[in-house]
Amino acid sequence: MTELHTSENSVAEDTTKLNRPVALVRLVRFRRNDDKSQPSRIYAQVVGSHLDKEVRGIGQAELFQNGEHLILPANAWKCGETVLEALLSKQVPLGDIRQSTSLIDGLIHSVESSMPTEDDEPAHAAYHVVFRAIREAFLAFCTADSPVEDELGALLDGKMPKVSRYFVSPPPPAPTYNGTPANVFSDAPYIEPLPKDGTKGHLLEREALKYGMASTRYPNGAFVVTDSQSQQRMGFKWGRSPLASGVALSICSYKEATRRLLNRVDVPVPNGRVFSIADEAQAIQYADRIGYPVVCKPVAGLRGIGVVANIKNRNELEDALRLYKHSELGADDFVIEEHVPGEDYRIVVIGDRVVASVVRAPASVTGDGLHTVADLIEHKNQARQANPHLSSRPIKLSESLEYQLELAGLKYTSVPARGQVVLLANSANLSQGGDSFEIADELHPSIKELSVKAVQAVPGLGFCGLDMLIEDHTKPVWEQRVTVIELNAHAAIGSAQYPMWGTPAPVAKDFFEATCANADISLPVAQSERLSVELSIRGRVTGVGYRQWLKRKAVRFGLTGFVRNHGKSGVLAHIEGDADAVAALGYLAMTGPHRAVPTSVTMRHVGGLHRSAFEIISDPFKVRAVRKAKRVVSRMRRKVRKTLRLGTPRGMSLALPRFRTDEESSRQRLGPA
Amino acid sequence: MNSTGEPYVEVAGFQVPSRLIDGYQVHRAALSRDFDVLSLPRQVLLAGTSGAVPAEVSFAHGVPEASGLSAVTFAQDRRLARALLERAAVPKSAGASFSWRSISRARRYANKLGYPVVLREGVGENPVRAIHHINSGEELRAAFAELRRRDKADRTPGSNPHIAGYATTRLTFTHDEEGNEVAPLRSRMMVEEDVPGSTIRAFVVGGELVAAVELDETQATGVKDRTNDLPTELTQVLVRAAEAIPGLACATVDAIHRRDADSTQVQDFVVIGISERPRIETYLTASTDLDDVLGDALLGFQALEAGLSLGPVVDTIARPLEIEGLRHADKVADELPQVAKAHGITLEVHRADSVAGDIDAWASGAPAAIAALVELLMAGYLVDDKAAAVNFSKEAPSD
Repeated sequence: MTELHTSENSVAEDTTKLNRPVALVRLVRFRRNDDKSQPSRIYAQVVGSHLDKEVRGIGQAELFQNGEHLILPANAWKCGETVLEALLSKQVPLGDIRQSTSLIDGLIHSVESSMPTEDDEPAHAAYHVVFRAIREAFLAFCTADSPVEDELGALLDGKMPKVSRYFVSPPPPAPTYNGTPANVFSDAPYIEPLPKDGTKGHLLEREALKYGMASTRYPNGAFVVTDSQSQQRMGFKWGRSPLASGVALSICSYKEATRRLLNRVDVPVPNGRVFSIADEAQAIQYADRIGYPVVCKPVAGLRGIGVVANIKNRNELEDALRLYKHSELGADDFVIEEHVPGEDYRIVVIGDRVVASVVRAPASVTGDGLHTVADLIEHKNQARQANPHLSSRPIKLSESLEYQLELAGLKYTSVPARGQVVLLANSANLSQGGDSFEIADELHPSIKELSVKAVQAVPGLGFCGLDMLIEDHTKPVWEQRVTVIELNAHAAIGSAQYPMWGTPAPVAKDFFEATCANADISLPVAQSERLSVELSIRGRVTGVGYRQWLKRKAVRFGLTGFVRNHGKSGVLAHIEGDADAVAALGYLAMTGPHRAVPTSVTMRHVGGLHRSAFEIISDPFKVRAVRKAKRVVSRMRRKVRKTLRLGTPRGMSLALPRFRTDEESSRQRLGPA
Repeated sequence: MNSTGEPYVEVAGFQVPSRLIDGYQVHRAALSRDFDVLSLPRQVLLAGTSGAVPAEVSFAHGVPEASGLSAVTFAQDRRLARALLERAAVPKSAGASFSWRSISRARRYANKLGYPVVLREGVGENPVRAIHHINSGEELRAAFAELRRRDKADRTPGSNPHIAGYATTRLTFTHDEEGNEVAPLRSRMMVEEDVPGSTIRAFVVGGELVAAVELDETQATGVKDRTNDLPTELTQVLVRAAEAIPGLACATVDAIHRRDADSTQVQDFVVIGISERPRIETYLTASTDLDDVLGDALLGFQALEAGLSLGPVVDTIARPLEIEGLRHADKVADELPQVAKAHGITLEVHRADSVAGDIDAWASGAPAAIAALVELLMAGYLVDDKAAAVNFSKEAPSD
């Protein structure tokens, strides 16, 4: 059919020639070099198409001025994002540089109201660095008349791990599984600001507080809960609890010990052996004998460090051993074992019961035909931020990730087709960016039985996160290959309590109840969802802005109460509100502002004060003393000024008094040697 | 002491590194009660009388299963242990913790405390690394720099024999001005009063003091058995110190009797350390039978916890011996019978599988000698190889 050329069509054609739509924008920050020789750089990229050809414009600027590295305020980045996003809705006029300049300058001008004043020169300059990069990119985009080399792409392919901030718009679609969006958790805002290594402990402490117990927190994630009835104490540190023994951890954290032990009680484990790094040739021979694929992993590993799975031949094993030697545990003994087929499950056993089961998938992204692998990784990491367990476990840009991309013939700047799943790791470890799905309800009873049998083989293991490879979790063990690959004696709570998809399991509650049952502590029938708690904070917490800091946090968490100083090195606070928020603030109180060094925080339940806000209560005597001191100082100032006006009397020095050094002070205190 | 500087102790005719003595002692005690035992890496010992795996009682480096994971972790955190001692009203030496960032504050604190002071690692194996007799701010800084140094072996928790199986893994480090790997800036050290006086080391299990010795000046060797002549009040303080850490079933507690004190009142003693490990090697130098007393006490306590009754003491045991996970099984199969024979053990090898690294044998001899032989084989000190598991049970699993 011949298309009729109407006057309307002609106008449209002209418009296409004269306007260029912006399809995608990016803003990327590269960290400065470790030796600070090269400053941090901001890159902006504007991508669109013109006459069926992709057109790009790139701009860059350095966070460096007058010989000083500039700090980038969070709002400067936000302003940059706003300007770039605004471009997406614009038809960019071609051939009219004045109009293009006016458009971008207008957009920049619209966000300048949120900039700091020019008095704050470094911050002001940092905003302009961002705007400069964007302006340059936009004008380059407007004037480009043919596809140009993807300079930013080349940089990303070579230096992606150096990227510290990344923005792309329009963003890739939110991650889904069979059309279901990822879980959302109401306690995420309270857990997000907590130190990342202490979440497991916090979840257990939260259960203790909800059951009416007192808790004293110490540095490095340690705390002791006390039952008010029996006065029994139970200690916890990170995921280390009284529900496991030192013996149990010694077995579980050494893979060869676990395998030997489980093999003796007929729990299926992969064939394998341990080697030292001096035995590399022997390890390769062993792999040749047992047949490929094999797995290489440290004998006492953690968080998936140094694990390379599915090694298909001798060459890949040599590569894997090279990678292993460069890992953080690379000097330690390693295990070569057969690679067993199946999906990776974390099954949580407490006592003789399976309480949760999570299937874990290796880190991956799914293409949409528009975004690059780098875009998809960054966007998925942002989605993981909303999950309390996964927020501190982003997809890591590492050598092993690049190795996986290379195996798939991809780079960071490759654009995977819509629906194409790109594997970014070869082990299903959440710490390496893997995904989690809770499926305990579907787990076949025979797999549950096998899990309990494996855990009970280890003496003193009351709780275990058991890692298993299963072909089909709905089928019995005798119809498929099921293999136990690891036992974890630490309280592996987060993966099942905060799965990305599936029904979350209350593992922390089950765990805490089992710990109390083990210690013969009887618990109340129900937990409190609102708490009223007294916080007694000891350490260097006065004169360091601690009370103001605590107030800010309490207000942010929506809590009420008060805080006041308590003696020379103590602060006392009373906080009320949602139990999750109160428990989180109790943990946060152990960190404090920059100059504070809290040594302990004790949380005790008290009667409610029913305040409507959070206040700082000042000591009236101290306030009076401070006022008096201020009066004395200003009187002295007046006297000095008066003396200066009159001239210095003979024999009177205006030099500042000399302070004694530490040694002199010490000598004076101790007296003559 | 051998050529590598590691101290050795002679037991049952074998030279055993002193750090293996805790594990050896519970092993010996279990065999002397005719228990079946399974040895696993890092001195894990499972023992009992029934089942495919004898596991009614278990130990790691001699630490019984009854000591919870959090408890042993608390004991390895000196700063935390001190805070718990304070809350339990146990007298302790004056001290505070500082990081490399707050070294100036540490110097001011040491000035205030008065020299000499002692600097100890905040977290680590017991006894923690310490530098005594620091007499100036410069020496304190140098001591800090020394204790900050990280060894590559810190990042080999699986093969470093000096790291307990349950210890926290220390992977993070940074570099100092000279390019050395050092602990992160936030890592804390304890600056403590260097209390002059004699050190008492006491072993407490299940809330009872089992043994006490006086240590020499280095605080590393027991020189006198003090089990029966400690003041009652001091015994109570030592027990209270052990109980200050919730969930710690056994502990070795160190206390100093101040040299300038003219009495043996409790207030003249200060507790300076708690270890989750028994450290039996320091008791046996004070009295030749104290090591066996401690080993037997540990086994007895854990058996009681497990409701397991102890049988009569046996002088000789004979049963199948399964050795697994050797790198060179054929070579070990040739050498092992000779080594065993030299120590009064009869060992007959029935089968050696070089591919799997396994040996099936039969062994008979005195419990102490067999315990020492297996501990050394597991640690890689007996022959040029080390085993991944040794099962010494009356009923070998049928293939």
